[in-house]
Amino acid sequence: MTRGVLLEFRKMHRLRTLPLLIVLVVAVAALSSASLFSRGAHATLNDSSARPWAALLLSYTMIAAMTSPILTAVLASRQTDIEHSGAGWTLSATAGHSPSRLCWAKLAALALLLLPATGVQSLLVLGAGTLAGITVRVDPAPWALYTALLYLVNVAFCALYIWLAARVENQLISVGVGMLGAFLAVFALLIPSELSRLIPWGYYAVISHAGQNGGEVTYVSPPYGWILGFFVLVGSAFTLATRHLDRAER
Amino acid sequence: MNNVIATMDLTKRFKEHTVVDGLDLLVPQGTVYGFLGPNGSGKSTTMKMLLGLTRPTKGEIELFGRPLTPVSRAEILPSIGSMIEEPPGYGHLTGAENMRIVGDMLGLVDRQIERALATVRLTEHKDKLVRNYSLGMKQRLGIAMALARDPSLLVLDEPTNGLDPAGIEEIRTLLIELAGQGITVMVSSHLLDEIDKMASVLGILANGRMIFQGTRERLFNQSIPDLIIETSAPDVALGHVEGATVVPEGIRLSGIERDAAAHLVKRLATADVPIYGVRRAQQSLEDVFMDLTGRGGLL
Repeated sequence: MTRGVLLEFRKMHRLRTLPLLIVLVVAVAALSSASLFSRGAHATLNDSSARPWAALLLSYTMIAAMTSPILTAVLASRQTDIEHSGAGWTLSATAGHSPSRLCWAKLAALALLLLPATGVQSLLVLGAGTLAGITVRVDPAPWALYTALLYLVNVAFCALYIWLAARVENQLISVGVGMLGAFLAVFALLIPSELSRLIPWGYYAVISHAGQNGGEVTYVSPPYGWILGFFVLVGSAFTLATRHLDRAER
Repeated sequence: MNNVIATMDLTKRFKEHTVVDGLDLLVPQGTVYGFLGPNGSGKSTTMKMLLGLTRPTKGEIELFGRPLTPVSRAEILPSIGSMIEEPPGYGHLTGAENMRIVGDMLGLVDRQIERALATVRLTEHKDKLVRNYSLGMKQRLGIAMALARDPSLLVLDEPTNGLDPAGIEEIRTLLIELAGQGITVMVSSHLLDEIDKMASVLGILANGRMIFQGTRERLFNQSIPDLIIETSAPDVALGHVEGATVVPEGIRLSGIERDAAAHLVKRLATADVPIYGVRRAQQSLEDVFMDLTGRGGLL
């Protein structure tokens, strides 16, 4: 598996994966913290009752929900499309690497890239908050938990898009599903959590650690059981679906 | 002679459609085996089954004397270089980077990669992006990828597809050289002319069935060349024989055996048809091939 992951990193060369990731991470951080630099925001930055960090986390959650499905779809699609255009499925199969192994290697490679990217993204948002002048002490737990869950949801969707990109040669489908997912993820922030849990992309909203309660922004505790169930479901579905790819005759 | 590939009753069906039908393939060691057949005759499917890329519906495959099973496949694959359907190669990477990926995949050393690139004469183009390669260069890179593992068997599906005559000649020379080094080469094509010039053993497939397998000489012996009777009165001659066609030299007849030819000449002579010469037409492999496959959609 390690060899497979290293091969995926070799294949990433000139795919502009890293620049794409950097641009989007910076863009998400900038968009999430843009409201901090507005004139009206200054008054709340030092007011602990206004919970400026929770408000920033909520803003971050919304921007991440809007952009992450597209980012993961683009990364997965680019990494998988090369196997179609370069006859890589057959090349790998004749070297004894099945399509499922290839998909898992792609997922592992992208997951390794997304790990620092998601961490840095959250740190940039926190940094922007500090730079904007929030003096209230930050509660690290919701931020850390949200960042971890955002990373895992990104990896879960990466798995979905890799499978889709492997299954359907036309990459517009995979990226199109990602865009539709972005819409659904934002929409899920506006509907009750009970409904969001039933929409796959709704988990970008379900993992939110900040919410509005009677007009006030507060930290909230997401339904961890549902989130865990979602990860188990995605993991099982990816395992089964990629095994099915092994049986498909190309 | 040992057979590197042997299949017994190899069959592949897709739903109701039988693509490969009861194939008994024998590829002797150290030969260039020309696998001929029209487009859609089942060549690629057969090759995919030999490589374990497609599961047979029925039948058995033996490679290097060992039955092909999921377990044995992993052990046998490192000895088989292949290029199926289209040459592999990631377009956004250079030839050398592609080769390094193959090297890492198979645990090869740099020397093997450099030798494979040199064999297909790609060394000086190895740092170009593959998407900027000509079709011939892509084919050569595909062959280099197949060769890098120092295979005992090369399975190449239409390696000259889309190449210009110079490219075809280059690949042909290369394959003959490889066979000279002891590598068994199985090469498919629907271009009869090129197979004629490189294969020592032929297998001809039509509608998924093997209609001939053996040496080129045996193939020619199986087919009766057309009979050409040189005469200045072809119209008169046509009145005495059936199924003849008029050609500039006289008349031409197909499927006439030795005794029948003697009777025919006697009959024409008795009818005062002036006969200046009787000869058999020069046969190309294509004529034989057409003859065997019933002129069914061949190039």
